[in-house]
Amino acid sequence: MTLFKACNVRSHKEYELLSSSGVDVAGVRALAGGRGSLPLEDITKLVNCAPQSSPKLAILTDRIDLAQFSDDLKLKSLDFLMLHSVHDTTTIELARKLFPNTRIGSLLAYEFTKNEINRVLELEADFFVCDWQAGGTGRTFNQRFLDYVMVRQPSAKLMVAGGLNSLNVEAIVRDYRPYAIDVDSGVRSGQFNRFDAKLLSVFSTRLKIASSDEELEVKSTFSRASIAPWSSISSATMEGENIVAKLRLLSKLDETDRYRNSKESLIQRISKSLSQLANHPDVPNRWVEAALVAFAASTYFPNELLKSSIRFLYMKVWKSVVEFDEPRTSFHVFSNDPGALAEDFFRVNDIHGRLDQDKNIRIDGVEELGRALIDAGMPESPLHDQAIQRLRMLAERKVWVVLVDQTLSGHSLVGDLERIAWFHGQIKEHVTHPIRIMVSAQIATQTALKALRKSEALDALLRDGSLSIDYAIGLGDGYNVSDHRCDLVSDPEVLQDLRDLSAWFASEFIVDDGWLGRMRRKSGDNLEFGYRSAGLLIARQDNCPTDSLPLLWHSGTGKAGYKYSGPFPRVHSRIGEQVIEQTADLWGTLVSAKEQSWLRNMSDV
Amino acid sequence: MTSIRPQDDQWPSRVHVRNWDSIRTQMLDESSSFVAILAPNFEDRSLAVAEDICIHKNEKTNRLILGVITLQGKEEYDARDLIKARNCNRCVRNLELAGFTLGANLHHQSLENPIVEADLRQLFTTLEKGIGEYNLVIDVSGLPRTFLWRLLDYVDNGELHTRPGSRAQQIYLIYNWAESYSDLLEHESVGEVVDHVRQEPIADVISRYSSADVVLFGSGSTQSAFHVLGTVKKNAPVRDVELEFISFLRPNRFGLFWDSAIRQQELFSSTTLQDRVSKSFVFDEEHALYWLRDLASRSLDRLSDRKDHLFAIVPGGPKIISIISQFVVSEYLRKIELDFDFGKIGSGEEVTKRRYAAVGGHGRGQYLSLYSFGVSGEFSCLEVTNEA
Repeated sequence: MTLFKACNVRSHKEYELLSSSGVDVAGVRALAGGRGSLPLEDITKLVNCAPQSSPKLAILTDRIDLAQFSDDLKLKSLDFLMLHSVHDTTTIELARKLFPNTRIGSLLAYEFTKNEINRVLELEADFFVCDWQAGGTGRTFNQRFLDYVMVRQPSAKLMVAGGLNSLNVEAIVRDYRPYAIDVDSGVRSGQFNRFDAKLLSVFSTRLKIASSDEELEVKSTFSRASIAPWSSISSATMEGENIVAKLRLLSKLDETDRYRNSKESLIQRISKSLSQLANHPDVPNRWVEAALVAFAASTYFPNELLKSSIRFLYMKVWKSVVEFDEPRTSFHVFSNDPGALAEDFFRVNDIHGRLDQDKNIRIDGVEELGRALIDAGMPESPLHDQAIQRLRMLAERKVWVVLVDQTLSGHSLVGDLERIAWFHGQIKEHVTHPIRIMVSAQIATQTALKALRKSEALDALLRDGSLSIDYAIGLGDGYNVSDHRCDLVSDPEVLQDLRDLSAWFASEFIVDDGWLGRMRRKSGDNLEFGYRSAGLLIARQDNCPTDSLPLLWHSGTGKAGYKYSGPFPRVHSRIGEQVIEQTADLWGTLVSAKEQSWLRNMSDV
Repeated sequence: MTSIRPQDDQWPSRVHVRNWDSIRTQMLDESSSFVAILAPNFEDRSLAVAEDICIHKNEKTNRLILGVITLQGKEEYDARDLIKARNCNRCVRNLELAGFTLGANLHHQSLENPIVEADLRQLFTTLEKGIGEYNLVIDVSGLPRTFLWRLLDYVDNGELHTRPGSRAQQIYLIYNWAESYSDLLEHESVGEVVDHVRQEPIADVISRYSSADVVLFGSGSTQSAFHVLGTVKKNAPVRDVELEFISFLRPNRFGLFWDSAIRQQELFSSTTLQDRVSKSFVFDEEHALYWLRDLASRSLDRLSDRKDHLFAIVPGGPKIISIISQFVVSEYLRKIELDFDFGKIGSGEEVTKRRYAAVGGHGRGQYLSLYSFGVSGEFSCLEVTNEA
């Protein structure tokens, strides 16, 4: 239970008011020079005459001469002594001798540097008074300071002061579970700035509600609700970021089409991820909240949506084919990332004969195109005739579809398209009909679309109509957590926390992950915001892209030995380097002028 | 079956998706006559087509006749009527500033809602004066659906040519998309969902058939989606009812539609109809058109096996989906006329083409659509072949 301390009692009458207002501790000031303090004899009278029951009394002093101070006071006993200016072991030990059975507190000023904080936390004080050095200024507490202290020493007993009132007391208790709350101006009113019984009552009630939640968490039979981090998520974040509604919608989607057929529900997976974060000593509560906000703001693409998008893309393709007066299935399909998508494209759209070699050319991707071109240029190759035949069939097709499941950074697609465009440029002199390249993407981001236009070769094709881009689901810049236009998170502070968490997460979990080495190099960073800083919060039913924040998909053990598993754990399709590098070598050879011998055979094609 | 069966050569297509830019270029060119009906309403986007005409009008624009209509409520004025009147005045003034002449190539008519046939006849008599064959452009962005249904029926029945020699060859329906929607409208009461031809609750219509394919667009008001779900549930125990639940998304406005789509899809996760519901998504109006045709085609397969089968579409919003639904149903009925031996599937006089299909709409005459508000954005254009 967090103690309620009202500060700066100036008379016995005020003390009596506090005793009937639920205050646990009444504070008096005994400052050097008497600034705003009661005379010492009044303090002695107040302390020695105070009843044994609450409120207990605390003296705050900045006096250095503690022995003299003790002699002057002549107290029978004292509950709390708060040392406001001396922060060393000797003084604490002396205070313990001079004030036996008194809990000694040491100031942990919001102005302190990290080194100073670390040093004070090592003192054997009974509690630490978090306040501004001036004290009683009404200036609001420093949340980042408290976060740091909680991370540094989670078990530290804190008496939190600084601009507290009935509006912010619940949040501070829930977020930091302090030993005591120290309030002054927040419970005073009127011309003479006196304690206000009503304000005291409201403050006390709210503090008790927040504290009793804490108690319930321990005693409740609903053990699931008491597990961190759910118990520590602030109401403000829950409401402001619409967490409940967002999680509910996501859960509904996950229930009908569970991510990678996981046995665990989305909420179970999110709970696990949050708990793992909360258990890490480097992670303050506000980062855990930010992670929850990110999970709730994620967009989950179920299979039915993706299947429908394949139908939509096919409609665009056959409309284009029909413009050329060709049969509707007369087009060639390249896959940007050869996998199941091409098969789905034919299956979902009832296009028969996908594997018929007389109808459909077996050149599924750019690598196979490159190999066919090499073979076509080598008459001695056993695959020469077959390659010529395949390229001839390709050249006859007026529509080449580049099928893409998702283009998020655009990098891979631009690479493939530039190679296809290069081949398109070489071949167009040898064919009499126009050839249109159609990019058909299930999901595309603005970043990817911009990347396509940045490529001179592709931009030229876009402008002359030889290249078109269709996509079913477009994600604007607002979907990028690292972009200033991000609108996934309402509160800018929470968004900043999410960015801070992402940066820390990368340094803790990603930098040493050997599987991600190639991806880090290609991305040019530590994947703080996913591959090439795409900053997305998306997951498809079958996998989570690396362009999403690693918080969503990463699984592994961090530097400090703590495990983490994101709510959408990813299966990596590439953990080596050989395939891509081989493809790059292949095309490097191919586009060099010396090796364009296959061009001489284009008349055959 | 899960495919979009591309437009069957044998399918009696009446409607096609076109590019508004090219239609507008034709319209503002002197080579052919156009009549355009503009209907400023209380939404910003209902002025978009007029503004687009003002921007692109040029010295060749000599064969375009504009009709600006305003529908005012029959009873006392409400805020919408006042804003409508203001927008209408603004529209006429802008067109005059762009060079159109009131009384010559620009006509304004205030009509009373609900519309009666005499009003339509009078409107077309004015607009068709002095022209022979022409192409008709209707800005449907802010046109109330009740008026639109009357107008489309009027087109379907071939009653447009009010003067000898006057005839609309092609009809273009232009729709402007609002770029943001209001959350406040989610709970707008839209009344009971009724078949707009029979003017009776869709539940009653379905209850007269032994089997039905019901297509429900989950866009627009959740309330109407819920109503249709209730209808299907009511009929499901004793009738063979299959439900296709379609969510409408737009590639460039994904976020705007997605939450609402999930929320509406959720309706079905708590029902006992799981095995009777198929869920799908469409990504633009053309996708919707072909998908609806595919569903219509499947329903025809079922009709060929039964005597008593209904194909019903309850389009919800946006309005362009309602229009497409109307034409897909019309195509479906035309296909029955062309292909079916009525003796096999029905008996005697009961067999009429209207028997086999229904299009649901809202019972209330005028309501605030979820898709009404926000700054005007892209145009969509449908070309309708005027068979009459």
